[in-house]
Amino acid sequence: MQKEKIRIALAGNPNSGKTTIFNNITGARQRVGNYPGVTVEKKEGSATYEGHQLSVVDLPGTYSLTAYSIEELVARDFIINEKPDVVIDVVDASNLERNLYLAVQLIELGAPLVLAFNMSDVAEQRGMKFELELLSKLLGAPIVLTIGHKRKGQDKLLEIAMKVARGEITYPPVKISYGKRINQQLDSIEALVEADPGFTGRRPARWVALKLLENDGRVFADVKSAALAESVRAGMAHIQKIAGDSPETVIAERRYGFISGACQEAVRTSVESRHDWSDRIDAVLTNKVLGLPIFLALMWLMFKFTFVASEPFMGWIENAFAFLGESIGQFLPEEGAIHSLVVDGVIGGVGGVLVFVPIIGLLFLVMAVLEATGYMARAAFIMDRYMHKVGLHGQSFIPMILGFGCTVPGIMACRVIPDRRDRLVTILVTPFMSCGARLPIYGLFIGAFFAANGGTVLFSLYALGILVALLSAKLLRKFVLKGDTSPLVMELPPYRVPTVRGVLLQTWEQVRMYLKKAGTIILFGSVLIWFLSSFPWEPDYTTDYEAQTARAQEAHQGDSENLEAAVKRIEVRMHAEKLHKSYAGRLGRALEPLIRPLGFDWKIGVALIGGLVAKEVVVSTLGTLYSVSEADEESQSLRGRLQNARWPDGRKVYTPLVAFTLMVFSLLYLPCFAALAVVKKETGTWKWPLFVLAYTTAVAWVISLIVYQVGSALGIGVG
Amino acid sequence: MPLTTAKLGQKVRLKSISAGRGLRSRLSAMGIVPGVELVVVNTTFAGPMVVMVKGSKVILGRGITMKMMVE
Repeated sequence: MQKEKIRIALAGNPNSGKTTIFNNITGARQRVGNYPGVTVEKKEGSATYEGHQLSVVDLPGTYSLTAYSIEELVARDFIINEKPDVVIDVVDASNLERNLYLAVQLIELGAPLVLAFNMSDVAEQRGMKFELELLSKLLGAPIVLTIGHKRKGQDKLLEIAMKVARGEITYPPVKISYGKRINQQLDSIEALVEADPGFTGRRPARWVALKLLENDGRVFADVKSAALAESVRAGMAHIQKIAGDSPETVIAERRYGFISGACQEAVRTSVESRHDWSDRIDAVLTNKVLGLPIFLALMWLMFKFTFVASEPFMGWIENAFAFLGESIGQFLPEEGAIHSLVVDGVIGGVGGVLVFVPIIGLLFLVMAVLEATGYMARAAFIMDRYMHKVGLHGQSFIPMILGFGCTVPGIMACRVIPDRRDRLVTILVTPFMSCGARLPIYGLFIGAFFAANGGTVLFSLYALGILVALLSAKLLRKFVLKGDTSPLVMELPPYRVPTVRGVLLQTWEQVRMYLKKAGTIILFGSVLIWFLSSFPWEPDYTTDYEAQTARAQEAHQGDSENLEAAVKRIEVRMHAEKLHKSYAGRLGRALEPLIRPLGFDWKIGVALIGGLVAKEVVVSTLGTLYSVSEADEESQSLRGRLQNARWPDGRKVYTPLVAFTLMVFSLLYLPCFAALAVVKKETGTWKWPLFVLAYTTAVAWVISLIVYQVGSALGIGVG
Repeated sequence: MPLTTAKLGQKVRLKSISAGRGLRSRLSAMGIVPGVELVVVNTTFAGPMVVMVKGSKVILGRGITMKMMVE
């Protein structure tokens, strides 16, 4: 017999251990998407319990259920519209009163509720003792003690949740008293709500009345009757007058009053002192003097670790793709377009990007650890003061740091910033943070031209990215998104030892997204670049190469060594002309006048266009262009070919100055298509991605021009 | 006096907040409502502070601590 499917929603404060409980229940059977129409992450998972199918939705972590933040609105709408069979509110029991604020609102919303008192071990250490039965009665919901990271209480939690879902456990509904005057207002408004056609009974009338008095615009928009609207206005004015404060503040105060009343009755606290190890760590890590240097040292260590530890893995992947290209190439007709497409286009292009999975994966791993321990919140605290100077926000710092890994998750992390304009500025400047995809470009040119002082050059590029991001923020604040930065308000969670499982799940989720990008956008871009540089397949050649080859064969009859060299020279000239006449070649030459002042030739132009797909493609495009065009048989490596590339007049194309300018341009010019798509998704309009496109390209051009022209005038790096 | 002038370790009671509705609502959700007791647990030179409120620590930027009147 098919048992019914039970739908569970998990609610709770950020840092309450909600995600750990979600991971425990669902394991790896998770899907991450967005709530329809908004950019709030929706995590869903499934599980079975005693033959029942469970579908579990992890609601966004919130402190409250107002209409002021998208996350809170999403959580509340989900409970109202989707009517889950049971809502589990994960409560940090060691921090009970603040966490119960959300619980009270869930009770008022009429949700079938179970309270998971999580971190009950920490609460016990703090000397808190709960009279669970009494507290359940006072709050009108069953309570289960849990310890998320030890999986304690999980079976019991599911057992009780199932009983609540089936209606086997019910508590008499709790009516929170807001004091005589507000209660009276609520009663009369509630009666009018029941008569109003705008409220069809999906939402409890008492809750609607409360939200109306709390000045909730979303709920007020549904009011149809004039009598109700008038009564709400009068009620709010009345409360404002007698309490001397806004109705929502008074109501919040009363809610806390109710909570602390319940806790006084049913929670015993024996230990007063809270000076635990968390405070002692904070005394050092967020110290006035030591905080900043420790933070900078940690960031440095993070990069050092990811670069050093990822090196062997990258070598393996590189070899694996070279092997793959050769093996598959054997089975395809050698001179055809299919061979070229598969080996140069698909395997070469996508493989060149997948090489960076280890470095990006490790960077995400370290960041997941820093986040799970609670250090990221400390970083926001330490950096807030400096970020405010340029009109950013302490919380802007986390997305920008993530941007070092990949701009896409960096921009998505901007969701934690509550104020719209603060969020927008952060989204717009995050692309300047030097992401992992720029590394192959630096690797190539530093290796070829700056062997002696590579570290300094690399550091200067990262520093330049940060500097441009900060200056851009300042300019945006001054001219485009005017206004004050909203102040930082953020919980400082206690330090926690991260769970291996939680960290790995989060890292895998982000690596999976990167792989998806490689499989879709980058694959498409590689094929596009391959097409542009390979077609027209048979252009009108100015020379008859076939006749030349035939003549060479005659001239060198019997001398196979010289013949081979001669034929090769002819082939290379032919490829060079083909490339010159290809669509990519035409595009590059059309662009040349624009980039000539930066010291770039048309091939660099083509590579930079390729980089629009993904920055890594700059390198693979140069690889394609030079592999077919340089009559230089001694140096097979791309580095060598770049070092020997020459203008028609014989001057070298790449001086150290040109190489540096090219790296600067690559760092600053528009982020890849994936990043632009994410900017569109997160801002909701095409206006901002187009702005990013224009702004970053302009900035890149101007700064590169300054670097090249000043460098040339002073004679730095021209030899 | 504004919260900004409170000293490290000082225990104060919040009298009023002059801020927009969105910000007040966020503060309420974190337990910061008039009448509540705050303990200053960390300060910076002219930057944010950390207060202990209802058993949890909250970072408050300078933009808001100047607008919170305490006694």
